[in-house]
Amino acid sequence: MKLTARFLLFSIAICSMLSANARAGIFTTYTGIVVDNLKKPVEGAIIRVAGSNVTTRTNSLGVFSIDANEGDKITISCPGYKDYQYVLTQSTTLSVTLEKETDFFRNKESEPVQLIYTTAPPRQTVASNDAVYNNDIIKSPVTSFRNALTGRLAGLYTLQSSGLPGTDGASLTLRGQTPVIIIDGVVANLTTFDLEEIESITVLKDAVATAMLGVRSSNGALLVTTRKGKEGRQQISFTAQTAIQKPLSFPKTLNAYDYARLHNEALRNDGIDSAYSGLYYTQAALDAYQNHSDPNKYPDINFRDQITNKTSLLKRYTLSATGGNRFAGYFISLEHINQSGFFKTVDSNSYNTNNNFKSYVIRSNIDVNITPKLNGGIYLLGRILNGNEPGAATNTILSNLLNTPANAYPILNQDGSFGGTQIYQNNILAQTIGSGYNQNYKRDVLVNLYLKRSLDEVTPGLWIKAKASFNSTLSENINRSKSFAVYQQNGTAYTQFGTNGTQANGNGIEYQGKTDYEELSVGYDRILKNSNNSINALVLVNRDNSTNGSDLPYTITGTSGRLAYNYKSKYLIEAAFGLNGSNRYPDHGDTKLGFFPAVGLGWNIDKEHFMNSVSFVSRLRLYGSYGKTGWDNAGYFVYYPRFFDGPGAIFGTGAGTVTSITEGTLPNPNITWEKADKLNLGINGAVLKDHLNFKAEYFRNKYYDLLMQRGRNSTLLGNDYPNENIGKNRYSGWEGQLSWQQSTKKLQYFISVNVSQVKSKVLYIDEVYRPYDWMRRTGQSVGQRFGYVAEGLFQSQAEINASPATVGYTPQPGDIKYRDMNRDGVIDQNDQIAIGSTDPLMFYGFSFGLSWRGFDFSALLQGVENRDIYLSGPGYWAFQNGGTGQAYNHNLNRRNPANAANANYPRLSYGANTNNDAASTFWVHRGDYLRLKNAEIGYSLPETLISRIKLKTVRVFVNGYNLLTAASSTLDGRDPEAFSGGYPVQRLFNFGINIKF
Amino acid sequence: MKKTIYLLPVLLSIVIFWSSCRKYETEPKDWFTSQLTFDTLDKNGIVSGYALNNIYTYIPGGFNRIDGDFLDDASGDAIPSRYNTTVENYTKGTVSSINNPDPYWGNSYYGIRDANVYLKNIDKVPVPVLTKQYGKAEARFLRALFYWELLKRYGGVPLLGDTVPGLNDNIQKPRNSFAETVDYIVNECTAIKDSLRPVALASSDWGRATKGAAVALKCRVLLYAASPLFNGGGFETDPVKKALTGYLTADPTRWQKVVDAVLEFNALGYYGLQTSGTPTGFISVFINKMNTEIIFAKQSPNNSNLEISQSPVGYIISNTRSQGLTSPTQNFVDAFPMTNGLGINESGSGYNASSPYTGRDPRLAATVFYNGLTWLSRSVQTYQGGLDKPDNPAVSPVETRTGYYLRKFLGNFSTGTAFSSGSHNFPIFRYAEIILDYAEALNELGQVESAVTQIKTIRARAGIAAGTNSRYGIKVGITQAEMRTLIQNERRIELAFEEHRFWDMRRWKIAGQVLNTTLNGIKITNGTTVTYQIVPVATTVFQDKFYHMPIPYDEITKNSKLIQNEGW
Repeated sequence: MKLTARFLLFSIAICSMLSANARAGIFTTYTGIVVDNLKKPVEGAIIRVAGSNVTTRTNSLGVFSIDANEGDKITISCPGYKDYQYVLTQSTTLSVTLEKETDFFRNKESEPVQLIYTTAPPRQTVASNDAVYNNDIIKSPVTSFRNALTGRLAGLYTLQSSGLPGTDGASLTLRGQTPVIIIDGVVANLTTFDLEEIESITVLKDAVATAMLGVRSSNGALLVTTRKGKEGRQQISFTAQTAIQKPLSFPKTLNAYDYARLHNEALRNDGIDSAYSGLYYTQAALDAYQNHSDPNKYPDINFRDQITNKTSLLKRYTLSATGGNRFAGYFISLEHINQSGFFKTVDSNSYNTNNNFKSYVIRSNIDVNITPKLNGGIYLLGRILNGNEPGAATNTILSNLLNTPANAYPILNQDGSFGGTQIYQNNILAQTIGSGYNQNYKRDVLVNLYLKRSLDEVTPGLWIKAKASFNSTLSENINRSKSFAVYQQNGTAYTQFGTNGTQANGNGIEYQGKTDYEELSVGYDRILKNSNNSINALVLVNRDNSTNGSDLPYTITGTSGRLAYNYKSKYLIEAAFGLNGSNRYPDHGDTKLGFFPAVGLGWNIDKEHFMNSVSFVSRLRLYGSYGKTGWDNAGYFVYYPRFFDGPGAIFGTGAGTVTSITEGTLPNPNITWEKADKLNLGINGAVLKDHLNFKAEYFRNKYYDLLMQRGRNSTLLGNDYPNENIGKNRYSGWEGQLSWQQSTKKLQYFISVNVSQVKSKVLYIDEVYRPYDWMRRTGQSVGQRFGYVAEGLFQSQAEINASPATVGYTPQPGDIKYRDMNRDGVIDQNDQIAIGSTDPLMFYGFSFGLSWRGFDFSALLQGVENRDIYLSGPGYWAFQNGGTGQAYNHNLNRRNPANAANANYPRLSYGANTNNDAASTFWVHRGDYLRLKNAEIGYSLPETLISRIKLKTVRVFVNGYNLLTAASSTLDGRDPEAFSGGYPVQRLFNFGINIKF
Repeated sequence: MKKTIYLLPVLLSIVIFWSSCRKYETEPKDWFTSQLTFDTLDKNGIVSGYALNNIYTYIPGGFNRIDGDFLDDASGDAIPSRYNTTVENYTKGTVSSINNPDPYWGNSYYGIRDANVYLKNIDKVPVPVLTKQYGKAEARFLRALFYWELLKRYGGVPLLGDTVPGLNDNIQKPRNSFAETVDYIVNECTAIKDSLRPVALASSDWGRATKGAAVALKCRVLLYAASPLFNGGGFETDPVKKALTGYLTADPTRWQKVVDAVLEFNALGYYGLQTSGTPTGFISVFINKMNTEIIFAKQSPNNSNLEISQSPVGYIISNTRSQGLTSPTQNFVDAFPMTNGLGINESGSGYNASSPYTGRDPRLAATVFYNGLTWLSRSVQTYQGGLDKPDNPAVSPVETRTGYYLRKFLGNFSTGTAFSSGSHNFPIFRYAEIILDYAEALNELGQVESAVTQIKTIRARAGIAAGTNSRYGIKVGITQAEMRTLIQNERRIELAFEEHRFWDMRRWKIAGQVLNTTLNGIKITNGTTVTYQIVPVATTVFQDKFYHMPIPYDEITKNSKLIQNEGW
C-alpha cells in the first residue's frame, strides 16, 4: 500500500522533471587538442559541456571545437583514459593531456572522494577518508568483501575468526568501532557479493565525514560504491577462477596412547586412588593403544582425517558488461560461486552432505540522461546464497571433532557399521555422511532508484535529487536431517545406540527483513566565476524504515546537510550536520531527534605563493575536524515496563505446568542515544613529482552516554538493572601512510605501507568498590582482561610452603604460582590486575607490486602488534568436562616430576582445577602476527596477438590468500585469528583467466 | 511547468514523512504491562494468578541442584560420582566469596521482589475476596521462605519489607541482625497462617502453600534459632558480626518456642506419617504426589530424569546409560541401625561384616543401592568389574566412587525393564521432620523420655522392630547426651538427601568434628564368596568460617553497607 503510493508520487516527480528547458543564448567557440602522456593525439575523445547536451569528439589529430560559455565545466573522456574536467576561462584555446587509466595502481589523491550522500572532487574535502579500488579488491579470492579489506585501509582492523563457507567474513573495526556499511548511499548490511561489481570501498572516519548520518554517525562508515557505465564502447569481461582451499590449522589432539597415558597421570595427580577408582586405563589397554593390536576394542582414530579432505575447491565465474552512450550508461554483471566445504562425502548418498556454499549474484546499474537536465538511474542487486551442510550441522560436527578423544570408538566396526558407545552415540563420520543434510537459502534484493534534475535555470549549480531504495532479505532453512544408529561390538554381538530414522522434512524462516529508504536532496555545486572559489552545499531529508521479522518497524528519519567552501583552492571549510532520530523512545515509541554538527578546516599549503619555490613538493595539506556524533542503540523499547512469561509453575496432582508471568528487566525511561566528540587532525601531501605520497592522521574520540548496566547493580533490587547512558570511553590513535609509485614506459611499480594505532581508555563505568588501584577497570583499555600474574609453576612443596596461600585451594607441585600483589600473604581476588596486552593495538599493511611487459606482480603483507590471545577452556585444557574432555599435543609438555624445568603446561588435573583454571597471565599468548595475506602474478597476452581474435585483453593470473603466517610459537600451530577450533580459516591458491572483448 | 518543480519537494516530503498509513502500533502491544498483569477488569484474576505462580518458581528444587549434584554430596553422607564437581568445593574447603556453588542470594531477592510486586498490585484487581486472601498470604509465605533460604546460609540479611525499589531508589541497605531476620520470618508466618488455604488441599491446588507450611516454616526457623550455632554459640570474635549470624547470648528457653510451634502444628490435626504403600510407606512418601506426610514440596513434572541421573551406571534404558551421579558413603551406610534398632557397633546388634546389608533398617534399602539389591529385575553389581562398577573409563567415565548409589526418591522399579514417568517432588517440609524437631527440642529441654516417644513413631514407620520392651532399640535409661546423638543420627538417616544434614551439622556445631574426616567406600570382590573391604575415598576439611556462607563478593563491592561474615 505504502509502496505503491510512493511509486505513484515518484512517477509524478519524473513527469515534472522532464519539463527541461532548452538551451539558449550566445556562446564562445573553444578549440583544443587532446594528447596522451606520450604526446600522441587522442582520437575519439568525447567532450561534453556539463549540464547540457552539447558534445563533440576529437578528430584523428586530437583536435576538437565546441560552443560554450566561460565558467562552464567541460568533461573530456575517452575509454582507457581518466576523465578530465576543466572549467572554461577566457582563454579559448586548450591543450589537454589525458592520463592513461591503469588497473595496476590508482592514485587515491587524484580520485574523487566518495562521501555518504555526495562526491567531492579530489582535495576538496577535509573529511578523513581512505579508499581501496576495484583493482585491489579483486586480488583476493574471497567471497565477502570484508576479507578483501585486510591490511589495505588505514584505521580498519579486521579479524577473521572462521572459515565456514558463506559466513567467513571478517569482523571490521574502524578506530575501535564497528562501522556502518553503506552501499551506493543506502545503509545495507550486505557484504557477500560479487567483488568485481565494486568500484571502490571508502572508509569515512571523522565527525565531518559522517555527521550527516546523525544517530548513526559515531562508528564511522564503510562506503561501497558499485561500478557504473560510462559513455564509450561496450566492454565485456569474463573471468573464470578456481581456487584450492586448504585449512590453515586445527588444534592438534593426542593419539589414543598418549591420551590414555595422560588420563591416568591426571587421575594420579588429583590423588584418585588407582587401586579402587576404576577410572584408570590398565597397562594392557595402554599397550593395546600403543601397538594398535586390537583396533576394535582399543581404537586410535584420527577423526579429523576421517571426515575432512585436505583440500576443497572454490570456483567462481564472473561475466560483466559495461558501456554507454550519451543517453545512457550501464554496468551489468553476473557471478556464480561454488565453494566446497572440507567434509568428506560418499557417492552412496544421492544428495550432497558437504557444507557447500553457492551464490548467484546479479547486478544491473543503469544511468540515463533523460534530458540534458534530468538524469536518473536504477541500480539493482539480486543475490541468492545457497548453503548446504550435513544434517548434524557443521558446527556440531566441528565441536565433536574437537572434543572426541582418539580412543572414543572405532569409526567403523568390522561389519562396516558406524561405531559408537553409550557415551559417544554421535559417531562423527555418521554425523558427516549419514545424518542427511540441511539447506539454507538466502535471497536478497536491493533496489536503488534516483532522479536528479539540474535547476540551472534557477541558479547555475543548483540541483534537486530524489532517491528511493528497497531492500528485502529472506533466509530459509530446510531440514532434511536424519538420525542414525551406532553399534558397539561386544564379542560377536553388537549393541545398538540410537536409531536409524527417516529424513526430516521441515522448513522454516530463519529471518526475514525489509527496508525502504527515501531521500530528497537539494544541492548547490558551483565554481564561482573569476575565482577559484567553489561552493558545495547539500540539504536532504530522508527516512530509513526497516522491519526485521515480527518486530515493529525501526525508522530513522531526519534532515542532514553539508556545506563546503573552498577559497582559491587554498582554504577549505566544511560543515555538516545530522538532525535525526529513531522511533524507539518514550513515551510511546516516539521519534527522538538529536542534532549532531561537525566542522572541518583545511589548508592546501602547496597553493600558497611561497611554496612556488619549493619545487619538490607537489602537494601539501593540513586539515582537521571536530564534531559531535551519535549512535542510536536504543534496543527494543527498553523504556517499556514489560512483564513476560516466566518458566511456568507446576501445581496439582496431575503435575501440569501453569503459566507464570514476571516483571521484565527494569525499564529505562531516560534512555537516549550514545554520543561522541571526535577530533581528527591530518596532514597529507606528495613530493618528488607525486611519486612519494604521505598521509598522517591523529584522532581523539570521546564516547559518552554509552549504554551499560550500572556497576553498583546490587542484587537487592531483585531485578536486572537496564542499560543506562552512563559509560564514557576514549579512543585515540594515529594512522600513517606512505607510498611510492612510478611509471615508465615499460615498468610500473609501487610500494605502499600503512600503520594504525588505536588506544582506548575507560573513563567512566560506575565502578564498584575496589580496595586496590590495580583492580580498577576505569583508566584501563576498553575490554581489558583481568587476572592473576602467573609466576611459573610450583616446583616443590617447599616452594609452596614458602609462598602465599591460595584462598580456597591447596596447591601441589606443578600448579600455577600467582603473584601476591597486595603482599597480604594470600592469593585472592585482590591480587587480580590487568593482564595481557595493555599497549595500544597496532596493525599495518605493506603492499608492493610491479608491472612489466605484460607481467604484473603484487603482494600484501598484513600484521598486528600488541594483541593477545587467551587460550583456555575445553578446547585448550586437558581433561575438562569432568575429566572426559579432550587432550592436546601441547599438554604433553605438562609439568610432572620428569619434566619439571621446561614444562609450559601445569600438572594435569582430572576435570576442573580452580587454581590453574583461574584467569591469569599463564594462558595469555602473544597474538601478534604477520601474514602474507595476498600475492598475485598475472600475465596479459600481447595485444598484437589477441587483437587478431578480436579480444582486447587476455590475462591469466595466479593469486593466493593467507599464504604465509608468522605468529607466536606458543600457539602450538594454532592460527592467530581462528584459534579456538571452529571451522579453520583457509589458505587459497587461485588460478584464473580474465578475457575482455 | 516550473511550478511543478517547486511542488516536488513538498510532494516528496509528504511521501517521506506522512506516507505511512498507520500499519503498526507504535510500541509493542503484544507485551504484558503492569496494567495488563494486574488488570482492574480481570474479575477472575487469571493474569494476576500467573504473577503469583511465578513466585513459586524461585523455590529451590533439591534434586541435583548444585551443578547436577545433591547438596548432601557435601555433607559426608555421599560424594559426587564425578570428580571435581563444584559441590565438592564445600568439603575440599575451596569455597570462597567468589566461588560458592550455592549462593542463592540472587534467587532469593528476585523471588522477594516478585512477591512484593504481587502484593503491591493485587489490590487493584477485583478478584474474589478469598482468592485475594490466599494469594497475598501465599506471596508472603514464599517471601518468608526466601528469607529463610538466606538466613540459613548467611545469617541476618537486609530485610526489604514490602518495598519494590525502582531505578532511582537507593538500595544500599545494611544487613539486619540474625534476631531481626528470625523475628521477621516467624512474625510473617504467624500473621499469614490463618489466611492461607486450610491444610486439606484440593488435588488441583496441590503444591500451594497451606497453613501447615507456614507453621512448619516457623518450627524450622525456631529450631535453627535455638540450635547451638545460632543460640549464642557463634565462633565470631567481632560482636557486630556475631549479631549478624546469631544471637549474642545463649538462651535455652528458645527450645520451648520450638515445642510451642510444634504443638501448634500438631493442633492442625491433619498430618501423619505415611505408613502404607508399595513397597513401603517410607518410599511412597516420595513417589506419591499427594499424601498427608508432605507439608510442602517443590513441584516437578512427572518424568524419569531422576531415575536416569541416579540409577547405577550399568542400567542402559532406551540407549541411555544411567548416570549414577551420587555415591553415598560407607560412613552414611554405617549410620543405619539394624532392624532391631541397634547400631551396628552396639553389642547384640547382630551385624555381620561379611554380610553387611542383612538385617538392616529397611530405610537403608530405600535410600541406597548396595551390591545385590534388586533393581529393574537384576541385582545391582557394584563389585569390582561388575556392570555397575565396570572400572573401564572407555565404558563408563562415571561410576560409583564408594560402591553405593542413591536409591531414595526413585520410583518403584525393582521389577520391570524400563523406567516410566513418575512423581518427583522435592520435600521442603514433611511431617517426619516436625516429629524430629519436636524430639530434639524436648530432649534439649530435658524431657528425654518424651523425646524417645517421638523417635519411636519414626522408627515404627521405618519398619524397625518394636522389640520386647517396645522401645525400638532405644535403651532404657538413655541419657540426654546419648539421646541427642541418637536423634541426630535418626535425623541423618530419616531426612537424608533432603538438604537437612548439610545445615544440621552446622547448627549443631558438630561439623568441625564430623567433616574433618575420611570418607569411606566399600570394595567388593565377587568370587565364590563375596568379600567386603572398607576403603578410603575422600577426605573432607572444615574450618570455623564454613559455618556461615560468604556473602557473594560482587554484592559486597556493589553495596558498601553489607558486612561480610567473619573469616571470609
